[in-house]
Amino acid sequence: MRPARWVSSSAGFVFLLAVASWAAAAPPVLAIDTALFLRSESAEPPPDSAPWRAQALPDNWKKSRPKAFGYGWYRLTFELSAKPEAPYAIYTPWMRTIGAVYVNGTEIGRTGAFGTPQLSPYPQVFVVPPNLLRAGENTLHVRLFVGDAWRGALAPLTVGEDTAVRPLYDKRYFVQITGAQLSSALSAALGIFMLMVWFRRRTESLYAYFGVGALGWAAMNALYLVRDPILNRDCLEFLLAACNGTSTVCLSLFALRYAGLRWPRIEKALWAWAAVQVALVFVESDAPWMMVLEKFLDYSRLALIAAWLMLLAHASRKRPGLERALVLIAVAFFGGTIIRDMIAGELLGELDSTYQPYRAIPMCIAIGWALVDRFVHSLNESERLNAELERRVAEKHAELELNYGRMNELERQRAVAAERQRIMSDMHDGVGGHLISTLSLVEQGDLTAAEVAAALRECLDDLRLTIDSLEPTEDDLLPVLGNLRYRLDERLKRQGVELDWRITEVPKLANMTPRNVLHVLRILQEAFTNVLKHAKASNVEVETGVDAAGEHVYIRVRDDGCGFAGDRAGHGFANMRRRAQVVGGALAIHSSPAGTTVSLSLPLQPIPHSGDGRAYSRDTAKAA
Amino acid sequence: MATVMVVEDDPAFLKRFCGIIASDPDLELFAAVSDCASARQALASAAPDVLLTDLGLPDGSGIEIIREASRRFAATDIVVITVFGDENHVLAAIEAGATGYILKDSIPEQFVGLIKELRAGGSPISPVIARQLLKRFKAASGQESARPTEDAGLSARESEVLSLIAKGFSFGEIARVLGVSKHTVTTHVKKIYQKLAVHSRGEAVYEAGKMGLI
Repeated sequence: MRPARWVSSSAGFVFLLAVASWAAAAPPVLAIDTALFLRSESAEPPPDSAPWRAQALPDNWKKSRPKAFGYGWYRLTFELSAKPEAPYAIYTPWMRTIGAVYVNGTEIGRTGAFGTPQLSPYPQVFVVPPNLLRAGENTLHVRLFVGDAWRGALAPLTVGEDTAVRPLYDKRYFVQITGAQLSSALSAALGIFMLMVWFRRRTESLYAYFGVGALGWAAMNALYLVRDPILNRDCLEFLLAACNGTSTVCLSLFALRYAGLRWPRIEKALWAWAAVQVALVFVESDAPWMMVLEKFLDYSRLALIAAWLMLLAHASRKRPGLERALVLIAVAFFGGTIIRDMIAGELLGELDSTYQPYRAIPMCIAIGWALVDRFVHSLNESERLNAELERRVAEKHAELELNYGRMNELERQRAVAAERQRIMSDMHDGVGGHLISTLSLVEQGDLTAAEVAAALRECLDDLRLTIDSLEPTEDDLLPVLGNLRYRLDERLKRQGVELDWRITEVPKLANMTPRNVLHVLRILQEAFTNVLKHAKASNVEVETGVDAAGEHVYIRVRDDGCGFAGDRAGHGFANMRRRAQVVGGALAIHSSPAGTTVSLSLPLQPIPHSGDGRAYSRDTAKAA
Repeated sequence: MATVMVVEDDPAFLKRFCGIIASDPDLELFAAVSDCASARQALASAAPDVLLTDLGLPDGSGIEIIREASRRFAATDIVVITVFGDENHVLAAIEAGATGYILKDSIPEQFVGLIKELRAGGSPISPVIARQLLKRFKAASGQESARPTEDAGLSARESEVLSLIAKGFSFGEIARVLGVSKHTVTTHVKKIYQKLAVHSRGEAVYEAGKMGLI
């Protein structure tokens, strides 16, 4: 994986090597690096008798004749063994700012209009018609125009057959122009992409700084390549200075952010430095302070570049291996090519660096990779967090389920305990009581067999009512009443009591828990017991209905018996009232010699604190 | 004249039932046994008109006797003897094929009356049982609405009868309300029992579970 990336990232250099080997295979050519030079405004090649002086090529005017501008002539000679058959060509990597070439006194081409200087890094090639050349010595003249304050220079000239010279030109053109354009485009694209990233993530100014830096750098490179500037020199220089300054400052700030640093004062100072650099474009002065300032700016730019490169290299130590390697390579390449260009410029008089257009490519790759790495990392992180979150949710879910299960179990146990309590208290009040009183009567020997049988039947009926009350009733009163009747029917029949069953549908009742159902049953059972034992009635009517207010359901048991006086069966009535109170209902008893009416009314709406049965438990505890 | 067989492991009650049967001129004792094995032996070659059986027998459950008898003798009325007439015992017996139940402490008149009612094509029922039956059939029709079997569900009249019984109305009162004879009402109940037994035959496994309760 890693070697494959290395190969792809160094594909450009491999390609350059291929271009070089292709040039080497061409026929021999003649490189001319010595010339004679003459400052002259003449529009035609000056005569050989003029005061020519020897001049080595490349000739950089900034070094050989500082602050000079205007026209100059170069005279070069070369030998041909025979008059050539094939077309010849003359190639030079740079001819600045405007130049014209003469072969044996005849002009064969020029690079532009004299008088309008250009910032042109383009290589030049001129085709020589074969009839202009001759066997023996041939003379070349180059007329060069250097604009005021423009960088004038002439590189060595190469003469040879067109087929041999052309590849040299093509190679130079590809490396210097096409490659630079591609590099600019790449850098610009990355810059725009980074700005888009920043646009969606405003808090990360890192991306904005790198975006602007890369765009500035791309613009600067593109401006160098403008062939026929529509802008004047001041404008161009202003733009170049602006792009250069912005780019340098932004890349420095990027390096700071990359290292996780924020130095507001130094950052302000950097912007001030860029502003001075741009402002200086408009200052036309040869004053000594100006020279000092220019020098200062030049060196400070180098220092600044060195500083942010070192900062990047330093900050990369915390980053993952591949990113670190890429950043270090990018820093080394960036810094290395600057140093190389400075040395080449000083020692060899080279005007254009071969590496300058490519300087930022490794940086773009490294930073692009860093961005991808961050992106992937945050994706992975968010996936991890999601998984973590899911895991926690599942954990909580399991915990809740466990708690729910425990609560259910507790609730179940509570319900079982409550039910046991209910049955116990019912047995205690009902069948237990009956059995004990029957037993004591039997022991006293006061009862006939028929009376014992009747008492025991009563016990059984009681027990059956308890068992029936275990059935879920779903708040429906009628099955409860129906069952009571079913259980009592036989006794009523035996005593010859006619039952008028006037049961109608009633709304569902609140609080019809099994415990409360049993209370209602016991109340009615007691009422019937009174009828059977004491009333000597011949008719009993049971009626249900809803009261006028629509808030209560009533159950009325009316007999035509003898009624009762005073508090006969007072204890039984007290029990009935207590039970009625527990279920949230009310009991009304009217008795007269013409009969007795027991009316139980039960609420349709739940009544708080009265029907929950706990009060009954306490009551029975007291009663017990 | 109806022949009656009693399966009861309590000798006192067995004697009591036999006495009741012997004292009624319309009834004749077919057999009186106290365990499953003897019951099977008695039923091996002939069938009584009425079979009374307790559920808790020393060598098995009366439910098995009920199931076998109902399968083999369609004309026999099977009655389960129960102390409380609670729905667990009664419904299990009805599902196995019983068409009636009798409380153990029934007085002779009730006992004889029940047998005669059964022979006439009727069945006894309590409000609690009626309510449970309504629930069973409601659940069954919910489950098997796609299957067009007539016996899976109750007719409208049968539901009406059951819900009136559940409210405590007597057969006579129901007959008056519906404008039919009392006898018609009791035959409805018997049909309902038979439907439950038919419906439950497919749930034999469920029965086995129930027997654990008995």
